Amino acid sequence: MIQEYHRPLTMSTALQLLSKHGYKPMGGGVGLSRTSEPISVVDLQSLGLDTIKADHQLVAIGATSKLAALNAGHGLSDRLLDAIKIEYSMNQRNAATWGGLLMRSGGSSLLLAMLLAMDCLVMWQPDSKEVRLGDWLPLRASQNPGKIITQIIIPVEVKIQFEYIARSPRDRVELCCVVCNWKTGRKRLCIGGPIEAPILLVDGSGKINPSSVSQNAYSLFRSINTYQKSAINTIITRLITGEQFKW
Amino acid sequence: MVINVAVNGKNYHWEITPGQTLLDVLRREGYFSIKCGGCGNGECGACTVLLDGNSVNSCTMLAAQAAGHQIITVESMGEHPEHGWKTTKGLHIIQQAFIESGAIQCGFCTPAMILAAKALLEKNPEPGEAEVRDALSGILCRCTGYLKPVEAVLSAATKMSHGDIDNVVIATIQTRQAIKITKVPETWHSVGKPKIKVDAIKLAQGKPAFTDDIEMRGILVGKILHSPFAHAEILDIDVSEARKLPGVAAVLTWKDIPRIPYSTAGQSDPIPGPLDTFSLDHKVRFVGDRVAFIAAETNEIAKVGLSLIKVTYQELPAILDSTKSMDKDSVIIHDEPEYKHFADSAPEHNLAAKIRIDIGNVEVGFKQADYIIDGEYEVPKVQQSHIEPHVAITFWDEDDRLVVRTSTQVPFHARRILSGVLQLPIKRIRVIKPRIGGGFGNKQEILVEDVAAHLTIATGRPVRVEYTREEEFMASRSRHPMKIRMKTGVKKDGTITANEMICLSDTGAYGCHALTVTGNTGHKSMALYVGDNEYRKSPNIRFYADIVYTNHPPAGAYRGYGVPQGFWAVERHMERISKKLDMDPIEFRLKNSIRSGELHPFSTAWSEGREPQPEIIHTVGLKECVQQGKAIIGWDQKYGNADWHNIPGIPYLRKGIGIAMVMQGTAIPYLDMGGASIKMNDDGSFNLLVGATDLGTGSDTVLAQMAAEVLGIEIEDIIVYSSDTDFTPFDKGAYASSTTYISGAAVVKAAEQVAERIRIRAANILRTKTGDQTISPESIVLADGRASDPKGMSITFSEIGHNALHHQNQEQIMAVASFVSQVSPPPFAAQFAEVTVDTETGKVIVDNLVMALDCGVIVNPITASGQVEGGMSQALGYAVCEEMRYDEKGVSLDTDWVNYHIFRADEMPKLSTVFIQTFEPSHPFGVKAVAEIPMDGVAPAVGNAILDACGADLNTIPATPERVWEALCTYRGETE
Repeated sequence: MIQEYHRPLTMSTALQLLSKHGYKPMGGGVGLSRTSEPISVVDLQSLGLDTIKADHQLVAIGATSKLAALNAGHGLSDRLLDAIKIEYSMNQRNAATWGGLLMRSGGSSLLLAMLLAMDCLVMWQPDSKEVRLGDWLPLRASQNPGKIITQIIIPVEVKIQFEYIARSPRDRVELCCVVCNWKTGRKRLCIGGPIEAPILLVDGSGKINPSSVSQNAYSLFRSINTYQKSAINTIITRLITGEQFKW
Repeated sequence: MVINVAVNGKNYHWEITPGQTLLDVLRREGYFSIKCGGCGNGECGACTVLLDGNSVNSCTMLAAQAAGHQIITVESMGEHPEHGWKTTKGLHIIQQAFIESGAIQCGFCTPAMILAAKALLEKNPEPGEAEVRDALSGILCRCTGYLKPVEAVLSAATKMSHGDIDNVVIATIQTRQAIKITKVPETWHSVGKPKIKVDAIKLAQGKPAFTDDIEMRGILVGKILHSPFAHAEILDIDVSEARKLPGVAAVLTWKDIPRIPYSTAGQSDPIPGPLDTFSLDHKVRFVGDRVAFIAAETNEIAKVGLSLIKVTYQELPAILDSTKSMDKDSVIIHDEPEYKHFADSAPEHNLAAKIRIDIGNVEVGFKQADYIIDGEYEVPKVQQSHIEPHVAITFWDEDDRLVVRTSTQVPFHARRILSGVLQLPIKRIRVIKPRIGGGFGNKQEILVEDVAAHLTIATGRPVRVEYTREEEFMASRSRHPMKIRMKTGVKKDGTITANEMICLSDTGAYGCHALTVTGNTGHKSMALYVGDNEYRKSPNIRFYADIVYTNHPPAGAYRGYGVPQGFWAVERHMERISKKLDMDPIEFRLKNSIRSGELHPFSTAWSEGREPQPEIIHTVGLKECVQQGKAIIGWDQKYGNADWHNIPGIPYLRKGIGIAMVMQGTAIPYLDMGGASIKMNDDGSFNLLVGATDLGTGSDTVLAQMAAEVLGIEIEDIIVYSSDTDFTPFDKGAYASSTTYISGAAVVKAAEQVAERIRIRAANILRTKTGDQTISPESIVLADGRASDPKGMSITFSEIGHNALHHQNQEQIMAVASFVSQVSPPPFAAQFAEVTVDTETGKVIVDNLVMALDCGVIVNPITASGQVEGGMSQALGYAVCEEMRYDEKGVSLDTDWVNYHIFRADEMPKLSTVFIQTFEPSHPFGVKAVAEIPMDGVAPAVGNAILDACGADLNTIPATPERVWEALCTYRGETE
C-alpha cells in the first residue's frame, strides 16, 4: 500500500529518501506495487535521467527514458527495436523506463536477454558505479550496486540475432535466445525462459559447439522437459550456425 | 496531497491520496470515457489517456505521477453536431472515421483506440498499416478483430492529411474483402445497407453509457471473499472483526441469507438444468467460490474487511480430472438435500446432465462401412475475456423497488432469477441494462447481481459490485472443456454410413448451461454430415454425452455454445477420413454434408427448447461458400502444390492450408420469445423499445433497420432503447444467435401494425384534403418519411404524427408485438486457414483466415462482417494460445491477460469475410444468424492447415509449439 509519494528534484534528495526503510524507487508506469505493506515511493521522473546520447560507438540511455524514446536514429540495431515491440505494447513503451526494465523484467524477457547479450553497462548511484549487466543480473534479487540506476550504456557496433518461442507472435515469450557478434570476433549468446533472469551462455571468440552450449543451458533450468531441451537446442544451433552469426 | 494537473487544456488542483491511480482520480472527476477492464496492470488499455501526447495506461500510473503533465481524454475531442441553438464543433475526424468504418462494436475500448490514433496521427500524419497496428497494440479489443479500427485510423489519416476525401484515394487494407451478395433485394432501402450503428456517436465520444459510468451518493463497494480451496466445508466463519472495522457497512455469510437453490444460467423458464447453486453456502466447490460478501465505504476498506474474516475450512478431496468424476469412490460434490434435479441429473454420481441421442442405427451403419475410423480429441477451458468486467449496481428506489443496473445479456431472466433468490416479487424488481462492454455469453449468467442486491437489502444503501480481471478468470464462467471420441463408418467411395460422438464435458462445480451447451455440441456439429445417397434420407448418428461435475470453476455459455468444441472433433476427424480414403477433403465433405430441403437430423431427436419437432432446412449455401472461400484464399493454387508449401532458403518453415465446414443454429425454437414496441412521435420519429440486449453486436441498429424498412423511413428517425424491464417488452435476451431473427421478427410485426395505423390515418387525411374518397389505406405507400397515394398526393410522417397526437381523433400510434420461432434455421460457413509452421520448434503462425458464410440476408454488412472478424479473432485464440490451466490444487494459473493471451492488433493474420446471401423463408427479411458461427471453424481449419504443412496431426488445442512439436515427433516416428 502506497502511503507516501515523493518526487525529488535532485539526486542527493532521492538517495537520501531511498536510504530510508520502506522507500522504493519508482520508474515509469507499467506496474504498481500491490504489497499490503506500507511503502513510500520515490518518483525519479524529475532527476533529468531521461536523455539518450548516441555516438558511433555507444548509446547512453538515461534510466528514466521511456522505451519508446529509443528510435532508429540512435544507431542501434533494428533487432533491438523489434524486441521492444514484441515484448511491450505501445502504451507500455510510452510508460516503461529502461531502468524499470532492468529491475522488473523476468527470465523470459527477450529484451533483457538482448541487453545481456550486448554486454551493457549499467551506471548506478550513489558513488557513480559502473557495473556490467552480466555481473549484476544474477545478483539482482538480493544485491544491487546502488540505489538508483542512472544510465544504461549499449554498444552500437554489434550485430544481433534472436529467436523466440511463443504461442502467438506477441504472446508471453516462453523461450528465447539472443546472439551478439562484434567485429572483433567476440560472440555472446544468452538464453531466456522460465528462470529468474536471462543467462549468458557464451562469451568469447573461439569456435562454439551448439550441442555443448545447449547442454550447458539445460543444466541452468530448474526443471526442463524434452520439448524445452529440443527447442533450446534448435534455436541455439540456428543462431550459432546461421549466416547471421558472421559479420 | 494536492496535485496540479492539466486535463484537456484546463488546470485543476485535485486532492488525492498518494496511492490513488490516475484512472481512479480521473473517473472520480467525471472522465467516464476512461474505462477499466479490471486488470489494474496495464494489460487491456481500456484506461488509456494521452500523457504529454503519448498513449499510456492510467491504471498503472499514480495520479501523483501525472502532476505537471498534460492529460488528454476523449471528452476533449469532439461533440455531437446537434446541440440545439448552440453551435458545436462536431465530432473529430478520427471519431467520425471510427463511426463510419464500423470500428465500434461494444465501444468499451473505443475511446482508448481513438486516443491512440490521435497520438499516432499527430506524430505521423500518414502512417502505414503496420504503424497503425503498432499504435493500437496496447489496447485489447475482443469484438472487432481490429480490422475496422485499423481501417478507421487509416481513413482518418487520409482525411486529416488531404482534406477533401472524395478526391483522395483512401489507404486500403489488403485484407479487406468486398462483401459479395448473391441475391440483392433491390427494393429495400434500409435492410441490407451498411448503416451506421445507432449507438456509435455516443460510444465514439466516450459518453457515460456503461453500467459503472454513474455516480451515486452513499454508494458502497461490494466485494466477495473467495474460497482458497477447491473443495471444502466451512466449519466456522467469524466475521466479528470485519464487522467492527470502521467503514464496513455489512458482512454476509451463508448464515445471514435465505438458502435458496437456483441456477446462475440466464435461460427461459424452466431453467433446463439443475438448481445447484446458493448465493452463499457452507460448502465451497472450487477455488474462487463464494464464502462471504462485504459492503464498505471504499474499495480499500472492503479489502481490509475481507482479510479480517476468519474461516475454518475442512478440506475435502477434490475432483480435478473429469474422467474421475463418475468413479465409484469419488467424493460427491453436490450432496446438498435442496438440490433440484433436471432431466437425468444425478449428483450422487457427479453427473449434472446426460444426453443419449440415437438417430437411425449406427451399429447397422458401422456394419455397412468399408472402414471404421476412430479418433480422440480434446478442447480446453477458455475464457470469454470481454473487456468490461461483470458489474452491477443495486439500490432501492423511492418506491422501495429494487433497481438493478447491470451489464447483462439477459435483463428479464435476471429479474426472474433474482426474484426467487432475494424473495422479492418480480414486480418489485427493475433491471436496467445500459450499454454492455462485451459479454460473449458470460453475461448470460447471474453472477454479481445477487451479491449487490443482498448487500443493498442488508444495508439499505446502493451497492456496486464489479469483478476484477483476476475474479473474471477465477470466478466467472468459461467454455466447457471436453474430451470427445469420434467413430465414423465410411464406404470406399467416401459415403459416411454412421457417425458417432461420445463426449465427456466438464461443467465444473455447478451445472449452469451443462445440458444445453453440450447438447449443442452434438446437435450442430453432428448434424452437418449425414452421409450420401440413401443415408441422406436416413442417417445413422449417435451423440452421447456425460456432463460431469468437477471442482474446477463452473463452465457456462460462451459464444458458439458448445459448437466450437464439437467442430474441433468433427472437422479434424473428417480431415483424417479424407486422408485415409485419399479423397479431396472438400469433395469428401460436400459429398456427405446436409443439403437444402433435407431434414435437420436432430430435429426429431433433441431440442434445446421444448419437445423436438421435425424441421426442414430450407437454405444451405455451403457449396457456394466453399467456392467463394477457395477463390479468395487461392486454394487451388496452394493445396497440393509442393512448391507453395516451401519457403525458399528457410527449410524448417513449411506453409499449409486447411478448411473446415461448419453450421450453427438461429435461436431456440418453440421457447425463446422476443418482444418490441414502437410508438410514433409528433415529428414523425419513432421510439423503438426492445427488451433485446445489444452487447456490442449492433443488434439495436439491425432492429432499427428492419423497422425503418417497414415504416419507410431512415434509421435516424428511430430512437432505439434497450433495455429496461419496466419499460421495454419482454425479450429472452442476447444469446443463441437469436436477436436479429427472433427480436427482429417481433420488430417487423410491431412495425407492420404501426404502418397499418399510419396508412389508415394518412388515407383519412388525404381524403379530407383532396375530397377524393377513393383513397384507401391499402393504396398508401410509406417511403422517405411520407405516406403517398398512387396519384402522387402525399403527407409527411410529421404531419401524421401531429394529427394523431394533437388534432383529430387523437390516438397514440403504437404497437407491441412478439415472436416465437417454430424453427432454428442453421447458418453455414466454410472456414479457411493458412499457416506457417516451424517444423523444428513447433511454432505456428496463422497467416490468413478466410470465412465464407451463408447467414441468410445480411441486414447490415458492416456490423455483420465486424461480427465475423471479431469471432474469427476469438476463435484464433482458441486455436493457438488460449487455455485456462490449473495446478494440482485447482488453483488457476492464468488470472491475467499476460499469461492468458488474447490477440493484439499488431499480431493479427489477414482476415477476409464473404457473405453468400440466401433468403431464409421463415423470416420476413430472410435472415439467419451470424453472431456465433465465426467461432466454429477456425480451430479445425488451423489444425488441418498444420497437418497440411508438416504432417503434425493434432488431437488437442490450443496448437501450442510444444503440442505441435510432439505431434511432429509422432508423425516422424510413424513415417521413419
